[in-house]
Amino acid sequence: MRALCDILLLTAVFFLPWWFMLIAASMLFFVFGRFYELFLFAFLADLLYAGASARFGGFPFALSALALLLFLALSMVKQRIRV
Amino acid sequence: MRSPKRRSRWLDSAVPFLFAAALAFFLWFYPTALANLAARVAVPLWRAEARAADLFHALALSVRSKQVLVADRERLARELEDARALLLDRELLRDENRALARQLGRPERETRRVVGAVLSTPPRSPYDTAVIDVGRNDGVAVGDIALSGSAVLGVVSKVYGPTSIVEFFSTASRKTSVSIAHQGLAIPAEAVGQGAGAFLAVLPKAVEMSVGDMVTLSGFTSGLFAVVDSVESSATDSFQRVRFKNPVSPYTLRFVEVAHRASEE
Repeated sequence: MRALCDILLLTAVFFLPWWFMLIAASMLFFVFGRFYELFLFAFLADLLYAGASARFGGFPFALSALALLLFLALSMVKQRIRV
Repeated sequence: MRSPKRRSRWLDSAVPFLFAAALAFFLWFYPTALANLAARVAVPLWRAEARAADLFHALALSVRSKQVLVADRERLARELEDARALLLDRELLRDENRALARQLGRPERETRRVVGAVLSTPPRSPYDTAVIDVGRNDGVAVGDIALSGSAVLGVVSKVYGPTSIVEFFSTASRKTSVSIAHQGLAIPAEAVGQGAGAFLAVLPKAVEMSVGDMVTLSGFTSGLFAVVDSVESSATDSFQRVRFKNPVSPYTLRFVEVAHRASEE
């Protein structure tokens, strides 16, 4: 099941808008334990699409950084829900 | 000794940071290795997608009714006639331009352009970039200009072996120096990107401007940057807001030309 979700998310990185992958991965974070794929797929999107851009102050790993913050925030939420 | 629950929490928090640190370390020493690899993996997938889209389009066309096709053909023929009429003076103006450039002592330069297929456009990318299928292997370099016909779209910001990344001038809040042509005058302005091919410039109200004025990129004379779409100001304002739009939408691009910047300036 997890492998299938990973393949679908990977497909989303290549073919769908970036926010779709982020939202889908955030939802799957609550389905599977330690969903590091959230971070990995954001990093892949950064590698594929980031230019040396004026956007995000020229930082080429903005989506990875966002995924990292999301990962920490979702981990906290998940722990609180379980208590 | 840590309890299993605490160890699990520690692991949950530490792994992403350790992973990020390892990646940063790797990228410091090999800055383009992973991106090159990702591009190599992605290109066949994006090409397959384009082929599938073409096939689907062909299938959709084959089931359209004959009446719709006849109406389309007539409309396109009319548009072609109009375009031909508009282009009648193009060669005349080009010759005139060449003669003037020669008189002013500007040598004629060979322009080198490479055509590339667009593999991915916004909104897939959070960076408002497009990926094209020409890269270092085809002589593309960082700073080259991407055009569609004569419309200037953006600049090549990263180059890998088989692909390049094009950043659009219209990316939100990106600033670009431009010239607005109005009744023989070239008015310098700073265009601020608004996304989706739209721009905004703020100019003193005293500067005359009208809808339809052509905008070109400063120092790059071979292409059209945008066309003035609207000029807004209020009676109490001392400035006017000039909105212009690129004639080509970055979201519907299929092919772009990449021009070596130095050879076009």
